[in-house]
Amino acid sequence: MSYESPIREPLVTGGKTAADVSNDICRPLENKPTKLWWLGFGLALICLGILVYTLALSSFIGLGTWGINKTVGWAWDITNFVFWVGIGHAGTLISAILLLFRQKWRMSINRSAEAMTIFAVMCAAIFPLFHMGRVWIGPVWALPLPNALGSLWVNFNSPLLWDVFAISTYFSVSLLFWYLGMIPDLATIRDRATTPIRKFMYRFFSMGWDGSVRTWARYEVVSLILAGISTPLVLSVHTIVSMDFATSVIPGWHTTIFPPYFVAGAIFSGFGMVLTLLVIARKVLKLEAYITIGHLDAMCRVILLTGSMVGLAYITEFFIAWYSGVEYERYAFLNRMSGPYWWAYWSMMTCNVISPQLFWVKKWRRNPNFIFFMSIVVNIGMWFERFVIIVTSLHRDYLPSSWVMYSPTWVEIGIFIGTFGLFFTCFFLFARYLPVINMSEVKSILPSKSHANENEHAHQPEVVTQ
Amino acid sequence: MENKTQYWKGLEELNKDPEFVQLSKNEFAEGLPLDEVLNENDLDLSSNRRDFLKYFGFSVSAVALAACNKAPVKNVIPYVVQPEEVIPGVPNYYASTFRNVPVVVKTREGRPIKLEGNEKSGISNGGLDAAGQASVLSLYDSKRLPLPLKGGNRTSWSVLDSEVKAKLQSIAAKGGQIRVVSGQISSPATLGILNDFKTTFPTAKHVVYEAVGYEGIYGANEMCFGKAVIPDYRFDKADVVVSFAADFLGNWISHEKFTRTYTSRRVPTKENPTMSRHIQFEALMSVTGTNADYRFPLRPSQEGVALMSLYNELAKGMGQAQLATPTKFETAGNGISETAKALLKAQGKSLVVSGSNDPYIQSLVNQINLMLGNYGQTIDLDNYISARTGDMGFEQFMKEISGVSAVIFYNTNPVYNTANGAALKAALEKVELTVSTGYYQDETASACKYVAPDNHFLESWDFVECERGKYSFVQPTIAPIFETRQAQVSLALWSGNEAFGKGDQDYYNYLRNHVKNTVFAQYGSGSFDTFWNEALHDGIVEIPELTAQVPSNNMLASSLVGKISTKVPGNDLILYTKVGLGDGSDGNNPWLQELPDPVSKVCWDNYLAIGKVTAQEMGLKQGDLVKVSKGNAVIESIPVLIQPGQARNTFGIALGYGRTQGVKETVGSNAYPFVGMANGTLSYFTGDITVEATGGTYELAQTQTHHSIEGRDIVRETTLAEYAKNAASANEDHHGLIRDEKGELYSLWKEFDYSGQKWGLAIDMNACTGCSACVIACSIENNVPVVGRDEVRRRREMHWIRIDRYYSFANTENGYTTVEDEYEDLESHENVKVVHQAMMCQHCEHAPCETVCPVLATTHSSDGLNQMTYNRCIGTKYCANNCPYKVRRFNWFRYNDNDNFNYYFNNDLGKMVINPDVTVRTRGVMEKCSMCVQRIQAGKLQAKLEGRQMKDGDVQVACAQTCSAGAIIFGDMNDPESRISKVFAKERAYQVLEEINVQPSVRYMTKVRNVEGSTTKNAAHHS
Amino acid sequence: MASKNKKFIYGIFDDADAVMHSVEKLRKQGVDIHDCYTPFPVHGLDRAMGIRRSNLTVGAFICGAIGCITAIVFQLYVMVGDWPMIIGGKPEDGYYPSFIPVTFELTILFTAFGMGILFFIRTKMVHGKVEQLVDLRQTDDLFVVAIEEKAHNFDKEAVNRTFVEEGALEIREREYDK
Repeated sequence: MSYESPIREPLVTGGKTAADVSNDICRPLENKPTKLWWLGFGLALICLGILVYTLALSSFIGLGTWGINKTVGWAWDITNFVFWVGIGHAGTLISAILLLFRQKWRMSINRSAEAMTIFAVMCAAIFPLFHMGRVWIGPVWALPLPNALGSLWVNFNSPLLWDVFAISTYFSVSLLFWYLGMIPDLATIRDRATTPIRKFMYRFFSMGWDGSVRTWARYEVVSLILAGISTPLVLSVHTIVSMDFATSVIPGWHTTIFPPYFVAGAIFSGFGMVLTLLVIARKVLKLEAYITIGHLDAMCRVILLTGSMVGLAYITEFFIAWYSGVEYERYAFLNRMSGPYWWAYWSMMTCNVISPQLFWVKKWRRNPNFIFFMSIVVNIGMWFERFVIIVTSLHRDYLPSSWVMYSPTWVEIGIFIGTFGLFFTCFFLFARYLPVINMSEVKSILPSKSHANENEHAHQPEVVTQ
Repeated sequence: MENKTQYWKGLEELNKDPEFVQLSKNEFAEGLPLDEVLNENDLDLSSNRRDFLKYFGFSVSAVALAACNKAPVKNVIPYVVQPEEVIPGVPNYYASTFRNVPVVVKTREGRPIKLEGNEKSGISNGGLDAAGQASVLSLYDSKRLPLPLKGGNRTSWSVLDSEVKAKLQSIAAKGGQIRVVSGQISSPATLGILNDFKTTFPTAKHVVYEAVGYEGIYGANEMCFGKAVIPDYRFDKADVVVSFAADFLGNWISHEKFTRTYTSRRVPTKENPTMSRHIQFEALMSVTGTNADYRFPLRPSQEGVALMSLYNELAKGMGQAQLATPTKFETAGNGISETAKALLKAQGKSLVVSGSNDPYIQSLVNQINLMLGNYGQTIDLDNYISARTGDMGFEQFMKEISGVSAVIFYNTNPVYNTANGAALKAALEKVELTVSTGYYQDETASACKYVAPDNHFLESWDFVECERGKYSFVQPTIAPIFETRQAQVSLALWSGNEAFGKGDQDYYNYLRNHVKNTVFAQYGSGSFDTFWNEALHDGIVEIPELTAQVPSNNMLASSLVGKISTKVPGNDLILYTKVGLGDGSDGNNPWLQELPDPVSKVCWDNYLAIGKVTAQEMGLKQGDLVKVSKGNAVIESIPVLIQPGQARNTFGIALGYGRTQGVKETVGSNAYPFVGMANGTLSYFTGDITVEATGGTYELAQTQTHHSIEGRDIVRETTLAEYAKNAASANEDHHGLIRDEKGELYSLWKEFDYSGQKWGLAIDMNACTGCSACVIACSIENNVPVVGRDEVRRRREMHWIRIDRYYSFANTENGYTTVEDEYEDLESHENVKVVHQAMMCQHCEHAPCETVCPVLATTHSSDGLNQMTYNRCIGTKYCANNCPYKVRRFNWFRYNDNDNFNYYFNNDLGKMVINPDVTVRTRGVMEKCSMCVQRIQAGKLQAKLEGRQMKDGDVQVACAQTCSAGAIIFGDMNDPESRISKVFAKERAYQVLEEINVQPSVRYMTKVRNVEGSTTKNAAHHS
Repeated sequence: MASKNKKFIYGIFDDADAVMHSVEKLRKQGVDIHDCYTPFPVHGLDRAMGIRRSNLTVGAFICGAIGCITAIVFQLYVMVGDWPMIIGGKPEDGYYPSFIPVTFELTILFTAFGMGILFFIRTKMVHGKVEQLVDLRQTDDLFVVAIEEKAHNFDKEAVNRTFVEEGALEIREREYDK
C-alpha cells in the first residue's frame, strides 16, 4: 500500500480501485479481439511469412543470395542482430534497474517492456543463426559439445562463443523474470476466468498461486535478487556483443570504448522501442490511466540522457582515431564521415545525437504524437549506427586492393522485415492472452482505501519510504 | 573508380546468368541413348545431367581404360617414379610439351591433373605460364568433338578416310589445287608428314599463318640477314632493355624464357647492387610496361618516326650517317634522347625490341641493334627461337582460294581469327573438299564438310623443336578419351601412307624412325634404344648450341626511309592478346576466362581500353557501351575501360574473345576483323576508327576496383641508387615499433615455440612481373572453383592467391601520389608507376582469424601453418572479416554439381581434373591458401620413406613452382641453410602490416626501380 | 501432519490497512496468524505476522558459486586439459582473460534458475496445481486473514471481535479434513 505526497504527480490517475485495475487490465483478455487487433495481427503474420520464405531461400540456396562479399562478410545480418539485442535491453533495464532504484513509475510498463525484451531477443537470435554458412549444423556445433571424435570442443577465445552464452543466458533469465512476475496476475485472471479452457490454461501456468503472505514474502526476495543479477547481466550482454567488434583488428571495430558505448546505445534504442509500443498500446488498450503522460515523460528523459551519452561516444571515437595517429584508424573514421557511405553516417548523427536534444523541451516530452515520431527516429538512427560500424569499417580496411562496396539484396531486406513480423506476432498474442500491465504491482501503488481522501499519513516517514 | 550503383545485385540476376541461359539451350532431348548423345555435334555433357549414368560410364571407363593399359605400354617412362603400371595414390610424372615449352605432366590414377615446366629444359626451367597451366582442362573439355563429323553429322573414321582420300586423289588427278592451312609448325616430324603429303599430291601447298604472329620479324631478318628466323633475345645479357610495345613478359614469342632471363637481371643484391634498366615505349599498358623503369606512352602509328629519331640520335652519338627523316620526333619527358643516351652507354650490352609486325620497322630495329653491336651479344640469330615454315602466307592463300579445290585446316581456326573470316567462310562453300582437324566444332570446323578431330596434346605423340636444336617430346599421358585421332595420322593416311593403317601407334613408330635418322644420326651416340629411352625420360634432347655470330647485313637503314609510314591518323586502335587467353583458341577454358587481366584486373570480357584524357574528350566513362567500327569491321557494343598509362587518342581491344562456336558461352567481342595488312604482313593496329556511345552501360567483372595504396606502408619501393647506398632503404621501420634483441616485436604473452619446421613464403616484388601464372597453378592444385562473371562482379572470386596491382601517378608537387582522391585532379594519367603484389594467406603467427572462430575450424599447426578445417567450419565469416589481408574466401554457393555454375565442376568429364589430394569444398565453408599442405605432407612422407631429414626444396608450393621469374620462394624458416631464411635475412625483406603484430609468415622484398633521382615517394604516406 | 480435522476462521477485508491492524491486534492478543491472502504484496504484513526473512538469498549465493566454479573448471578442461591448440598464437596453457565472459554468464544463469527452482520447491508451487482459495476475489481486491482454531491461545470471540472492529466484510469458518 503506498501513500504519495500530493505534490507528486499520481502514478495512476482517475481514482482507480483495485477492482478497477483488474477489470481494466483484464478487459482486453476477456473480450473478443477488436478489428484493429485482427488487422495488426494479420499484417504481422504476413511479415512472418516473408521471414520464413527468405530464411528458407538463404538456407537452401546459400548465403550468395545476400549482398555480402569477400570483404564485407557481415552487413545487414549482424546489423539487425545488434539492433534487436539493443532493443531488448530496455525491458530488463526498466524492470531490474528501476526496481533496484525503487522507481515506482516502472510498474505499469515493465510487463510489456519485458515482453518486448523477450521477443526482441528472439528476433535477434535469428541473425547469428542464419548468417552461418552451414546453418544445418552451425547452431549445434557452436554449443560446447564434444564432436563426433570426442574431444574437439569450442573456442572460448571467440567473442562469437561468448555471444552464444550471453544471449542464451539473457534470454532464459529474462523469461524466468517475466514469468515469475506474471504468476500473481495469471492467478487473478484464473479466478476471473469463466470458461473451463481458460480456467485450465491459467491454472496450469499460475501454479496454484493463492496470494499467501508467506509466498509473497519469498516472492519479493526472489524478484529482488533476480533484479539484482539481471542488472549486471543486461550490461554484460551488450558489452559482449560489442566485443565481437572490439576484440578484432579491423580499424573502426578495434575500440575499447565500445562496451559502455554499446550499452548506452542499447538503452537508448530500447527506450525508443518501448515508447513506440506503449504510445500505441495505451491508446488501443485504453490504458491512459496507467501509462500516464508522466511515464512517457520519464522515458523521454532517459532517451535524452542516453542519446547524449551516445553522442559523446561518437565524438570520443573520432578524437581517439585522430589522437592515436594510426593512419588506418584515421582513414576509417574519415571514410565514415565523407566516404561513399556518408549518408548512413549522417543519418545516424542526426537521429541519435541531434534529434533527442529536442526532449529538453518539456512540452514535447509530454506530447504523445511527437514522442511517437521521435521514438521512430531513434530506432532508425540506432539501426544506422550499427550499419555504419559494421559495413563502413569492413568495406575499406587495410589493403585498398580489396576495398569494395556493399548493398543488400531483397532477401536480406525481407529477413529484416520478417523479424518485425515475428516480433509483432508475438506482441499481439501477448496483448491478447496476458496482462500487459503488472496488476499486483499497480494495485500496490494505488492510494490506500482508508487514506484515499486524507493526506496526513503522507508525511509518515516509515510508510512513505515503502 | 568505385561506383555505388554497380553493386546492387539480387538472386534473380543469378538466374538469368548467361551460362544458365546457354545451358538451357544446350539441353538434350530426354532419354537419348549413348551413341546418339555422342553423335550430338554440339556435345555438351555437362548440360545433360539426366544422361548422367550414360556418359559417366562412358568417360570413366574410357579414362580408366586409358589409365591401365595404353600409355605405359609404349615405353613412356615415368619422370620421377618408375612403376610399370599406376600405383593408386601415387602421382606419375611424364615429360611432354605445351606449345614449344617442355613440361612434365602429373597424372593420378592415369588422369593428367597438372602441368609443370620441365626443369631439365633451359626454356621453361620449371616455369609454366597461365595458358600452359590451364591447358590440362581443355583435355577434359565437354565441348570437345568425340567423333569425326561429315557435314556436321557423326560418321566413322573409315567412312571419313575413304571419302577424303578418294576426293583428294580425284582432285589431284584433275590437277586441282590442294592447300593445308596450319599455324607455325615446330615439329620436324609433322613437317615430314606434310612433305610426304605434298609429294603424294604435288598440287598441295602448305599455308602457314599465325592469328597473332611474327611475320614481321621473319621478314625483317630475311631482308637484313637472309635468315627468316626469330632470333633469341638474351635479356639476361642486356644492361639496357628498350622495348617498343613488345610485351615480352606477357605474350610475346617465348615469354616464359624471356621472363626468366629478364628477371635474372632485375634483382639487385647488397653485394652486387646492379640491375638492368628497362625502358618501354607503348600505347597500352602491358604487363611488360608495368615492369618498366621508364615508360613512355607512344602511339603505334608513331613507332616508325620514333625509331627513326632514335636511330638518328644514336647515329649522331656514334658519328654515323643519320636518316633523312621528314620529322624529328620526341616523346614527353624526352624519351627518345634519354633512351639514346642510355643505349650509347651500353653498346653491345643493350637490346632493342619491337612488338610491331611490320618488316620494315623490324628491319629498322635490326639496324639499331646492329649499330649498337648487340648482334652476337644480346641477339642470337644462330640459335634462333623459330624458323619460318610453309610455302605461302595467308593473304596469298586468300587471293588464290577461288581456284582451290581442297583445303585441310590443321588445327587452325581462320574463319574466326582472321580479318576476312567471313569471306573465307563464304569461299569455303565453293571448295570441293574442306577438312578441319580441330578438336572443337569451332567456327572453321563448322564451315568444313569433314571434321577429323585431333587428339589433345596430352593424348598425342610428337617431337617438337622448341628452339633451334632444343627438342622436346610430346607423349600421351592418357589414351584418347574420345574417338579422336592424331592429325598427323590422318594426313599420312590420306596421303596413302600404308604404314599408317593402325592408328596412333604408327605415328609413334614414324616419330621414332624420324628421330633416329635425324637427331640421333647427327648427334646421338651408343645404342638408339638407350638414347630414345633417356630422351623420353627427360622429355628433351638438346644438341650443342652454335656460337652466336654477328650476321652480315645486306640492307641500308636509309633504304627504309619512305617505306616506314610516318603518317599519323586521328586515332589508333591496338589489337593485343591477353595473358592466358591469348589468340582465343582456349576460348572455352573457364580458368583462363576467370583469370584477371594482370593490368586491368578484368575477367570474363574484353573491353575498349581508353586513356583518361581521350575518354573525357569523348565524354565516356568506365562501363559505357560503345560501338567500334572501321569500314565493314564492326563491334556493335563493347564496354569502355579507363586505363591509366594509355597514350592519348589510342584504343585497345583484346583479341581472342567473341568465339561463337565450340564454346559454352560467347565471351566478349571478336576484334579480329580489325586486323589489317601493312607491307604484306598482318598489322595489329589500325587508324581512324569511329567510336560512338550506344547509351547503354555494362558492368565489367573486375577483381580490384580501388587502385592506389592510399599512401599506406603496404608497398615499399626505392631506387637502385639509394639501394646501393643503403640496402635497407625504404625498408626502415616506419612505425617506430619496439623490438627485442632478435628484432622481433614484443608480445604480450608467451610465444609458441616452433621448433622443427616452420614454413614461410618470400615474395620478391622486383622479380614478380604480375603474369598471373601462379593464380592458375594455385587454382588447379587446390581445386579452386570458377564462379563466373556475375559472382566476380559481386566480388566473390575464389582465387586463393591474388595479385594486387597498384597505380601511383606523377603529380608535380611531390613526385608521385598514391591517394585515389587526388587522381581525379590530375589532368592526365599517362605518367603512371605500377607495382604488383602477390597476396595470399599470410599464415600469421598471431592469426586474428583463429582467435575469433567459435568452433576451432581454423587453428595453427606446429609447423607454422594457418590451417582450415573445412568439415568443422560453420561459416560465420567472422575470420574473413577479421583478416587484415582479406585473403579468405567463402563458398557462397555450392560450386560443384550446380548447373548455375556450368564450368567444369558440374560434369563428370570436367571433374577428371580435380586433384584427389585436395578436398572439394562444400557450400557455406571458408577456404584460403593452405600453403599447399598436401604437397608438404607428401614431401614429409617421401623424406620419411627415405629415412632422412627433409631438405630445402623437397617441397615446392604450386605458385612458387610455376613462377618463371622465381619471385616466390617457399621453405622452412627454421632451417638456417634454406633459401627462404637467407632471403628473409636480406635488408629488403619486410612484412606487410607488420605494425599490427599479426606476425605473418610471408615476407615481401622492397621493390627497387632503376630510375634516376629520388625515390618514388608516397605523397600521402603517413600524412 | 496429524490426521485430525483442521478448522479455520477467516476474516475477509477489502482494505489492506484493516488487515494490517487486525493482524497487529491479534498478535498482541498472542494469537498465531495461520496466514493472510492478499492480491498484492502488502509491505510489512509478513513482519507483522512474525514471518522470518526468507533465506533464499543464501541458496542464490550457493547456486551462483556453483555456476562460477563449473564455468572455470569446464573452460580450463576444454582449452587446456583436453586438447590444447595453437589459436592466434595465444598461450597454450590457457588465455585466461577470455574465460571471464562465459564465467560471468554461467554464474548469472545458475543463480537465476537455481533460485527460481528453490522458490518453487519452497512454496510448493508446481504447474497445474489446484489453488485453495478462501474467496475467489482474494487475488483481485479482497484480503483474507486466516487463523487456525488450534492456534495458540485462540479465542473465537476475541478474534471475531477484532475482525468486526477492523471492518471485515465477512467472517467465515471452514473445516478441512487433512
